[in-house]
Amino acid sequence: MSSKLPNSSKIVIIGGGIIGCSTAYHLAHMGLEVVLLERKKLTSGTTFHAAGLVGQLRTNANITQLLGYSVDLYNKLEKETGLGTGWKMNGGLRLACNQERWTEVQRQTTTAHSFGLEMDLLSAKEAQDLWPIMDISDVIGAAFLPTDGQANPSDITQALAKGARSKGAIIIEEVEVLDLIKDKNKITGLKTSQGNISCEKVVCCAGQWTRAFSEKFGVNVPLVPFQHQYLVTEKIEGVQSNLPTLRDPDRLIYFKEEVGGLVMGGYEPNPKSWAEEGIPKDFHYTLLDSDFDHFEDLMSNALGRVPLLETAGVKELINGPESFTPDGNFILGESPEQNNFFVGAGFNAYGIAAGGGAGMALAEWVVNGEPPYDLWPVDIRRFGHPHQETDWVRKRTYEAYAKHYTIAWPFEENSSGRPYKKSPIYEKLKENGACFGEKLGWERPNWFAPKGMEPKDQYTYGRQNWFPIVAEEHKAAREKAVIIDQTSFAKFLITGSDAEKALSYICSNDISKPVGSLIYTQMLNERGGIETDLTVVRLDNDSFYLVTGTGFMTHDFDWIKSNIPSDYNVQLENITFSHSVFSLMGPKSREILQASSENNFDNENFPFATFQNILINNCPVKALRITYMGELGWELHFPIEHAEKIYDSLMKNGEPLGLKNAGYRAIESCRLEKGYRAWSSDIGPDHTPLEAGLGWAVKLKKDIDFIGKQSLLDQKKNGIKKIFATFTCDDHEVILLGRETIYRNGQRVGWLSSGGFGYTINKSIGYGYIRSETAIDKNYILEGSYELEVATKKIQCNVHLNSLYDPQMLKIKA
Amino acid sequence: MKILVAVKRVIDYNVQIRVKSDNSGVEKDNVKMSMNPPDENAVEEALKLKDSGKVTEVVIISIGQEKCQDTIRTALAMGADRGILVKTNDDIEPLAVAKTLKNIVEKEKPNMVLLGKQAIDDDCNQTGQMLSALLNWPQGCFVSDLGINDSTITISREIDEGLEQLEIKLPAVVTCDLRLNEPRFASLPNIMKAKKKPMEIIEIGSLGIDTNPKVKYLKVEEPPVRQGGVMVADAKELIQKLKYEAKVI
Repeated sequence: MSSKLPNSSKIVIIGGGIIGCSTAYHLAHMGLEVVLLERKKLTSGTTFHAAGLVGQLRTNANITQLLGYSVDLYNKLEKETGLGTGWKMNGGLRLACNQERWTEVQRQTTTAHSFGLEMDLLSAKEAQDLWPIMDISDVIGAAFLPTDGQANPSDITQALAKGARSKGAIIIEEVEVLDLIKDKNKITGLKTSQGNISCEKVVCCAGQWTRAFSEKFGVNVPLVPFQHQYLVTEKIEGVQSNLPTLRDPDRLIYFKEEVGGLVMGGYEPNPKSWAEEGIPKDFHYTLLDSDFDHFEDLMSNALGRVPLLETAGVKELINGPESFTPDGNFILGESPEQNNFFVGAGFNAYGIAAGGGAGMALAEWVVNGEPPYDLWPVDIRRFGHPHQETDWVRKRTYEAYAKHYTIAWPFEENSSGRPYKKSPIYEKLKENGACFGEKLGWERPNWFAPKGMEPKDQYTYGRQNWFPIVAEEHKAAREKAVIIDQTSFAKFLITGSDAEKALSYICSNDISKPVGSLIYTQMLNERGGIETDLTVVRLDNDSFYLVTGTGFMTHDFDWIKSNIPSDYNVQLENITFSHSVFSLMGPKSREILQASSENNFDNENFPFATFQNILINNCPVKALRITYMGELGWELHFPIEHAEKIYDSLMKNGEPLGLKNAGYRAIESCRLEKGYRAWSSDIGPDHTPLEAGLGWAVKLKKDIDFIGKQSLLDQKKNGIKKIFATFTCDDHEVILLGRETIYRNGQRVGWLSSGGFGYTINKSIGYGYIRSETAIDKNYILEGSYELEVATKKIQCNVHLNSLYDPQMLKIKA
Repeated sequence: MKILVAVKRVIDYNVQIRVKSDNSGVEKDNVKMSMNPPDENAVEEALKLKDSGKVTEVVIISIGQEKCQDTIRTALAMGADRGILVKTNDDIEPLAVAKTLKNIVEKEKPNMVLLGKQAIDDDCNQTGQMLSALLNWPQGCFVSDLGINDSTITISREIDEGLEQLEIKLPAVVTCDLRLNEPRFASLPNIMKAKKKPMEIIEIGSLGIDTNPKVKYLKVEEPPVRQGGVMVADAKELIQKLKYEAKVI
């Protein structure tokens, strides 16, 4: 089947596993010229030893949709290509064997309903009817996804390859890609073992080889191989070919039917990484030594679930290395380090489930420069500094693998690879009882334990141990003042004679304000979707300071960099690591600042949405009068070396006035009451400011062109089909976490993007979009009666379009 | 009656063999290893005899690195009683293997030694025969059927002309063909129980056997890459090609 290397192709894919072949399939079906190069043989890297389960439910709607696309594709692929794929939609069962797991499964079922995926709760007996050979003495209940299934990984990959070839893709085996050929920083081709091929775009789908390969070109792909084992039994009486796949997370194992026997694999709590010194040369069609000792606990677990395994012969224990990632999500998209270098890798042993959809999304990304819809959880731009260090990546990935089947607790933090990056006052906060969370390597205070209490989260699906503590921090912010270390904020500087012109073009709000102004703005894509929202501070005529969320540093920097026209005279600099941020929030914040600084903080001298350079204890500080909590307050930004001095001053002057340390969970509670949206959950590339209720921050009436303007004008004319709203539950026992289903007049209309508790209004709060087939308006929202499905139970709720707290902004502007 | 079965740990038959980059041998690191397939037949035959009640103990022996214990455990999981590992980190040749086995046979005093007919890694096909000579025991090689009596065994072995049937006096050395039986798979409980079965580890140095290699390997190379085939339209074209291109007819 191998043909000769062509001289050129618009797009070249590296890697002939399921992801590469699926991407080739979709690019070819889009009519594009594409060549796929495989080092050895198709599937010979990892695909050939995949177990082949196809589950669809993830915690994100769009990723679930992506996996749903895989199922749709696999449903038709055999017919289209004439090649068997081994695909069967035999459904997927998930067991719950303790009360917390049962709550999780119920919440997952509601999540599935939110995303339009069929999923039903079953009793243990009903589950056994579907899976007769299992013991159910410890099973509380189960959930069933009738559209899940399983496939033969190699066959489905060959079918995708055939489908790609039939539309003109060229697939060549036994050719190794050696290097990128570049003209300045532009990709112009590839050097291979069979000579050069010129191309414009490169798509790297090289599985566990991707990290080392991409590193050569400065592209960071944080994945590492871990050993994954599953065993294959002989035929077992009673195992029918329609047996659903079975996930038994409390026993850390999964099963599927294979030629009348069972495949049983699992995720042990002490996984083994592999090839730490590099993957051996020529490694292909190779399995690792079976490791029965390491698999023993899982075997015992399996025997308890399927007693017939007592006598069934074990044909083999497959041990294959697969690529895993630090957050358990795969890695997709155009690399921020190298234009036109795309990546699809790190599939955490669900590459077969994701393959169809990921190939489609990656193909669209390659062609259009952006994904078909928001894919933030898998976006290659979600990483930061720790992800560049292989040791850290391996530690965190170990944890992610070990937690694959453990209960995913609300508010759960990772424990590995910490602390990685500490704020200068980390030790002081620790002394004061801080319980830290971690984001992109940064240690951040989540809450502060009072004396005598251990600063540690106690996870449960009920109210967690910090709930009453955060209530106190929340109260302090509303009534007195809090100080929150937000040093981890991403901070950029944009300077140059075209800085204003550039920002005017990429920001949807008007940033051409006088020096000293502070502007909340979004940056939109061409569809009008919100790519980022941030604070822009005009420091000077040609100088702007940008502040955005910790987790979005790589993404936002890349978005700004790649969307400023190249002929503009603009310099963009990331100063995240040289500047600290303290937020001083609450009605007493002015008094505290006044006591700590010679500057004048009166409302007339220092109004809301302005910035001034001030001195605190002789240290230079940029004071930004802004809030994400809905109170009078300032964000104080300053060079990192002054952090301790400033913290000590503020604490000394503030404590008599009731100043308290607070953390991110108090911010979350306050922002939910105030109606502030969070990017990546409440707003994102699929939501326009008009849909999100943020039209006030868009300069549509001004004669300034900006990215996304036309889409918004069109939308304004044609109307919007979803509207962001706030929901509250009067029942205090209801716990909202996000992803609960929204019903309007009994019809499913969406799901919660955020959920939490507002201590001042004393209610659970949820945010979410109400969706409709046709254009809707505010009246449509307010006329409906609403319920939320929480862990499969429907609960009455109220809808709101305004802030629940201080809608007149009296507090903020006090 | 007691049977000693010798098993070898080899690169799994499914694995694509890779030659080391310095041509000094075959890459064995990071590769799936398993029991030499004809040795599995030997284990199975011993276990069948045990199942039938004619044999009371099946002892497994392997020679090689620490990891060979995994291979012995596989046999124990299938049902063998105990294992002996003669430990060495060197590659040892069939004669040294045969001498080592002789040494163990003299201690264990089995009524029969079962081996695979050859190992799939070096395909030597020598150990069984050498062991028979060293012990001065009768041998039955490439056995595809085996019956046991009080003091003799009857065997079938494949030869060019067909099947040869022999009766051999015990004690004897028997090497097993793949046709002999269908090796069983171990069950999960037996795999777990195998860990607790006795395993004796003997350093090869303690046996006083000369294991120095007598053969010097100069170089190991990949076989030449096979050219792809072509499809011919009909017999006429085939004959043309054989005659004028391949020049073989």
